[in-house]
Amino acid sequence: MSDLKNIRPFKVPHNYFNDFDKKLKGKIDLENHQSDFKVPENYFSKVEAEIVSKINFYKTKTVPLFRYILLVAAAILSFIFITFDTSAEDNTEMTVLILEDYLMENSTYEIADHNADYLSFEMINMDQSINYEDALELRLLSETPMNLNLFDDE
Amino acid sequence: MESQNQFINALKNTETQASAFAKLLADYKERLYWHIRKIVIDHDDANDVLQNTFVKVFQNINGFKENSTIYTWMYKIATNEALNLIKKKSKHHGVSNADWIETKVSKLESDSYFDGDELSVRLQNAVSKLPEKQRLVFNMKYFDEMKYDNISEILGTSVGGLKASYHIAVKKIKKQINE
Repeated sequence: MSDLKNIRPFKVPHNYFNDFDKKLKGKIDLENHQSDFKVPENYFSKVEAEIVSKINFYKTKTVPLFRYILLVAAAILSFIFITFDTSAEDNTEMTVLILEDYLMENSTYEIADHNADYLSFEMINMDQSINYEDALELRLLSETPMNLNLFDDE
Repeated sequence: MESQNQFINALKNTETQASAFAKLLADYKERLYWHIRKIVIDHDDANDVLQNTFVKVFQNINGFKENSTIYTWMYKIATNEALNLIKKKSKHHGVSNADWIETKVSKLESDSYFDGDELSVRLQNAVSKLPEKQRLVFNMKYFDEMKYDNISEILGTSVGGLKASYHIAVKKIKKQINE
């Protein structure tokens, strides 16, 4: 009975074990069909970094916020600028009206007698962008004798 | 499906998209690369297409309809990108798409990123002579061992049509190799 232990009833083809490695390798190659194509060394670790560098992950979040901040800042600046500009324009207009009235109401001699303090602070706001002396000078230099009421005294 | 939904949500959420995208890249870059490479043949072209594919995936993730898997959606983008590159390059060189691919395959033996034997080159030559659709079906079925259902979703062709295409492609290739 113990002799039977060493008898192998099953047989293998000739050179089966010698060819086994080759056959197995061939099968593995067949299963890994794309092994014929190669990639540069470390390609897959490098390409990941390259792809990530092309994508701005926070773009969708930060850009609108940045734009929003910019828009708010622009709106505030525009408001300040427009308000300031408008008030400056209004004040200039007011100054011109006051000065026009002053020039209409007073003769050149009277004007000549007036000193710089003649026009009260209540009449012309000191905050305005153009001071009344400059406005007056401009007006006097640019107006015609008619506007200056040179003939009113006559 | 639940985990896919969570993953898609992570990709859409600006707080989590960077890490989710890193996972997407790690999981799919090689699979997509080999799919693209077999279509465009050349490594540099495959590299361009792979990068464009992932950039498009990122850019369009918010529009991703979750009625397909992200895997098939990405394959679809990669396939379209690869075919568009062939179209663009062949047009630029004044040749047909098929001629462009055949030329690429004819240079495989001298390609430093290809080390197939003679039989492998003959197989690639035979595949390159197939019409575009059959070539895609053959690559996806034979090399990538994809299921017809998935190929159907990616290429938008019925399973029956795909089976017929694959059958015809195999017959043509066998004939070509045995010539």
